[in-house]
Amino acid sequence: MPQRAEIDWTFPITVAQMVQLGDLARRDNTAPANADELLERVGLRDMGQRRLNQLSGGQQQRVLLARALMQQAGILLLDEPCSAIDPPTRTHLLQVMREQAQSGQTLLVSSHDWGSALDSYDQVVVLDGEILANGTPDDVRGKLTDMTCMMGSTCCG
Amino acid sequence: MVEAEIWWLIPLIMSLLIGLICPATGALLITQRRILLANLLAHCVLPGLVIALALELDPTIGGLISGLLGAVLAERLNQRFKGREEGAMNTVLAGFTALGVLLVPLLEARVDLETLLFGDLLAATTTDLVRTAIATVTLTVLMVSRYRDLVFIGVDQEGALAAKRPVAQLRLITTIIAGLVIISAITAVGIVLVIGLLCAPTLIHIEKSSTLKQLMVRSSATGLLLCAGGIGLSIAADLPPGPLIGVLCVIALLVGQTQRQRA
Repeated sequence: MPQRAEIDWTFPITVAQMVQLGDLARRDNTAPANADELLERVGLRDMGQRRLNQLSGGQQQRVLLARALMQQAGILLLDEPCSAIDPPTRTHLLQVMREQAQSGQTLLVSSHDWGSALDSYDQVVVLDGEILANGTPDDVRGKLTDMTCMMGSTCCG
Repeated sequence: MVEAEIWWLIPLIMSLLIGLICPATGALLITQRRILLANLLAHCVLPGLVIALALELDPTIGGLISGLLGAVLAERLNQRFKGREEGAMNTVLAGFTALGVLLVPLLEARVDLETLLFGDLLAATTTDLVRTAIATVTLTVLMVSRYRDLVFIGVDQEGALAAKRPVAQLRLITTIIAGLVIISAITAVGIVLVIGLLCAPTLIHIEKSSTLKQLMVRSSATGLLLCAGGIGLSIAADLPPGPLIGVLCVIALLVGQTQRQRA
């Protein structure tokens, strides 16, 4: 799942077509997923025939997630999936991601959001040129609190 | 007698085909943000055309080779001058045009430079028509066989690369076909004016089209009308059709823009 800046949002393409592009990245011979079903999963039912640039930023981000799900990959790499979106959309996206994880898919997420989003993941690795913290969200939150308090910053969490 | 009566047939078919394929190619290039490449190609074909005509070879081959050389050179310079690509491309464009102009006296080529620069549709031959038909078929084959990949590259090139789609190959094929289309169009509207026919119809429809296919069809329909209008006006007013088509492109763009603002 790419960052928003990599997409040409003005390109003439419908939402359904955008999701179906994920099929081109599918490696194995599994049956292609249904774009309409994926759109329903990300809360964009009945929006398949709309042009991509008619959607809000949060809706566009959900389209990208649906396209990523279309690939049916064993491991899903998500680059800042919750950046620049409203809280309800973020909650919805995180819920879909958790459902995917529960269904057996591995999700590897890169994010600068190290606040409430920490709770959404099973394992968290904090990087800043090196590994600063690694473990469950609770472990990492504890380590980060110590570190930020030592640096005189506002404690996160 | 028959030839005298149907002198207008080849120019008419030519103009209609050019009206169809130029805007379709323009739609492809504009949505891939490569329209400057089309202008570059249009000018860079000139030296190759002059050399080929001087050596009595097929001008398509000469034009394509020099057009691709210009595109490759510009691509190299673009990597060297990141963020200043337009300057590099325009310099190559000017250089190749100048070289083409210089080659005419140097090679003592029997080339009508004015015809190459501004087109002469009424002088179109069967060879020009065949060349245009080949360009039309090639573009159609590309669109039918690789439509989804071309959409992917246009909307998310990084994603297409990550999905291991043949991005570089398709970009090269698109460049070659754009070169073919442009060389075909030179007879109709010339090197200088072809860019108008590539851009204007697409710009008129790009905001209201939901898919690339729809954009290409609508642009082609508009291009067809512009070319038919241009050739009709040229016969009525006894003026060259190429410049008339160029002027009609601007008028159509302005009318389209005004209608959009009203809506």
